[in-house]
Amino acid sequence: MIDCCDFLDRYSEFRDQLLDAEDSEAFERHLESCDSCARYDRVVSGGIETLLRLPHVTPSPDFADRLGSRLSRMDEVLESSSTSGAPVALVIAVAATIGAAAWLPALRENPQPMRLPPAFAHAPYHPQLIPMVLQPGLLAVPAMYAPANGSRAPGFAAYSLLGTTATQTPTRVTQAAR
Amino acid sequence: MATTSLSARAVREAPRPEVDALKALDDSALVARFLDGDRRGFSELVERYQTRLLNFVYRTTGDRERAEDLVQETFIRVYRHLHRFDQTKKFSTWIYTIASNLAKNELRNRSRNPLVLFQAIRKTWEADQRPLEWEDNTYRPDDLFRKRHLRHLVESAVEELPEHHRAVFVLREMEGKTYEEIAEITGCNLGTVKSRLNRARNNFAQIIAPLLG
Repeated sequence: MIDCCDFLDRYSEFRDQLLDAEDSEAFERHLESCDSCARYDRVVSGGIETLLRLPHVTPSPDFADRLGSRLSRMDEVLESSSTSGAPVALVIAVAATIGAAAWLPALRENPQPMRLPPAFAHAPYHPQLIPMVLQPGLLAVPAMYAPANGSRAPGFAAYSLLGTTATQTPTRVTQAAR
Repeated sequence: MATTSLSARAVREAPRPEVDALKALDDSALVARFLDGDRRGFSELVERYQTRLLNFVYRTTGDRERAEDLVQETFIRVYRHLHRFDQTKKFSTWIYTIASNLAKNELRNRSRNPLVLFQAIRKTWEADQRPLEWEDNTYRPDDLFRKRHLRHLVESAVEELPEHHRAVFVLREMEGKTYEEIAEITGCNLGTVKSRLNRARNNFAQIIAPLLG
């Protein structure tokens, strides 16, 4: 004897005739005596019948042509690579070269510090600050604060982002400015 | 590689005199012919499966154009890898597995949209957790209305099923696959297939009940 919960739990096996004869008979008896489960069975069956009657989607007329073209292109690529191993070897060699080139700077033991060109900026002239910023190792040190005409007019300074001492850069920058 | 030496015109060409003979062959014989160098074997396989696969993928993804692209991709993969196919297995199960995986990837890519992902997770959770139930709905719309909307409702009922229920439902009800085949195609065990199919049928019935019964 089965109840409605059992019926719903194992309905798929009943519908697909996977139950043994004894269980199957019990399900049949339940269907005869239970309107709700009988209706459930009708709804599932009717719904699936309707589903199967829905018009089928058909491939578009050029489906086979498009597929054929794609297969042709694929064949050409595969055949050209199988007739000579050169393309594959070439691709691998190129990839290896690019990879090595990309990693080379990182593999250097003592990478050189990056040297940027001097940057010029207008800034107020504060001679008392110069000893502070002339400390070696600072990221930004004043490269030159002498104006191009040689006078010490306030309000102009040239800074270089070299991270080096000020004794070398002022000369170079000054020459460049002149 | 056996397949690469074959012309891709296999899909388009199939001399008429032998068409009937090819149609009489089963799938494994067609596979064997193709691997022996007879490209018409592949042509016949395409002819045999294109509409079935298109309907399966369309019902699973709900997108007609995308389904056609995915079926093309399925045949491309079959063409490339047929030499690796274990001929002791069923060809139809193998090709459906490829199509099913492509459809699953398509749905997964779509679900990367956070809103879609949230809705899909909620729908799946609700469908899995809700106890199986059946209410005897007494709503009876008139016959004209019923006929007009039944088809649409049945189609949308399939679309509303959670993805993993829908694939199992379509494979069973529309493609007529056995539980074992469905398990192989979807990569699930038999118990999961039974459970998902039962829940899918229950959800399907709940949706269409107002117009049927």
